[in-house]
Amino acid sequence: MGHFVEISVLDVLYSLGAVAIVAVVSVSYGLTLEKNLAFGAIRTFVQLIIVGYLLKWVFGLDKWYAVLAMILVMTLIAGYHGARRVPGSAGRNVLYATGAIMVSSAAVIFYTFTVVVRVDPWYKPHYLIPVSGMVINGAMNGVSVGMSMLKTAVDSGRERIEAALSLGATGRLAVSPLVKNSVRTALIPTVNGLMTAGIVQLPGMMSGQIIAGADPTQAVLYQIVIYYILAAANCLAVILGLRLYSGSFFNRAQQLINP
Amino acid sequence: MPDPIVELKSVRKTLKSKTDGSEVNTPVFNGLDLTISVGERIGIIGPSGSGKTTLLKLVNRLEDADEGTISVDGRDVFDWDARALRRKAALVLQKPYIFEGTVYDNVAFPYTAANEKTPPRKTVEELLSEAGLPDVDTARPAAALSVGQQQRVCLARSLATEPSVLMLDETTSSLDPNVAAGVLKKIYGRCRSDRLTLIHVTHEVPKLRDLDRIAVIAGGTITEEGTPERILEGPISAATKDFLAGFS
Repeated sequence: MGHFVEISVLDVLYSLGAVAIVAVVSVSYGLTLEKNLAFGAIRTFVQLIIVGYLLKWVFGLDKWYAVLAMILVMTLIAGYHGARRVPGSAGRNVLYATGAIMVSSAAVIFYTFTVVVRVDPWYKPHYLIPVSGMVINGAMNGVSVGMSMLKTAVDSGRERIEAALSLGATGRLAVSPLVKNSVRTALIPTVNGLMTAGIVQLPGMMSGQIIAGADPTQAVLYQIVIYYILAAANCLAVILGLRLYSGSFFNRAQQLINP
Repeated sequence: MPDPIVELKSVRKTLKSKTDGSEVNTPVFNGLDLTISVGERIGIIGPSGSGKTTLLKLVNRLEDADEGTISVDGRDVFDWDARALRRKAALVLQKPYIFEGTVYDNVAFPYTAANEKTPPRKTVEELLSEAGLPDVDTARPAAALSVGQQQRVCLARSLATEPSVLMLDETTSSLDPNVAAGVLKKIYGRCRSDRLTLIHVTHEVPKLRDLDRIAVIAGGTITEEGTPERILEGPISAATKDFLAGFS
């Protein structure tokens, strides 16, 4: 397999031509997205350049604690962003989202690197960091959608919940149908992703490996593993996150409250 | 004087809600007193927004009073396990909220909620019969029933908690008048035979005539109470006169 074609920062700047197309569309249609687009493009550039250098440094260190520290930071950021748009007590929501993302991602990553891809040493950053990133991102999206869905459902279904509480139900039982619906909704993108893998959606990891010169059959096998573990991480994170979050709607007297 | 089963003393309550991010306070009760005896059938009337539903929610602790005391069966509501209290003082809401599953699943819900063994089908059928729905197929999805039938399933579901106090919040308003009369007759029978206490919030004046007492809530307190004849034929307070004028 040949080596990949290296590109420079200047080449990246040329790719801004693609962003310019969006800017032209925005101006033509009066979408007023130009400012956000410019900010987003700059932010993407700066964030990824920083991450690139950070990864290079961690790869060079090749120490387990540096790898775990990086994954921990990724988890904390994911927890914050996952809960940021969910109404209610921000601190508590961040705690729930972070806990759910952390536990689900850790379980899935542990399983992946002990059963599926056995790397040596176990903390090999070239494997652990990118795969963790994808898993954490999937878990974050699931938790975020699930929590937002549940909040909306509880707000619009207060009387139904109180009907169940009036019959001696615990808050958890009273809210369980809403939790079930929210979990289902949060998992729809994951299930759709599995259905259309490689057909509608072009898997990023597979493409990246192929560009980097990997055997396409190996790249495909890796991508399949990624799809499977993302589904597990997403599912576990949503269930755990909503289990924690649903409890915050009730006090000790099993009264429905605004968290 | 019969034993009191529900007592509200100097109850104050302000409902808090959020509108466009800012908190809105709505005062509901400013020193409400009401005592209800074992086996009594009391009607609660009053204008919309006077706090009738809130009063019921205070009794079964879906809401807490800001000040004052509320006791059920001689115990302060704060001394009750909230879930046990809600089985003791069952509330049937105005709108029928049917849960997932069959008619049987719905009526058996209080057993599930209490982690008890689900009841035999016969018990469920008896409860449905008592709620005015004797011939329904308990294996049918409850959501497939008409609104009136769903309301009776909700009533049967509340009776399954074996309550000492039954609180109906406009519960019979969606029923056919004849069906509603039949259902209430059965409940009145239980009030006599089992000393069940009935607290009936209703706008329907004819349904008030068969009760033992009527209490009128307005302006945050009980403005008037007495026998149905006294309240309906000779109202004293302006709030009662206004309320009844709307039905004449």
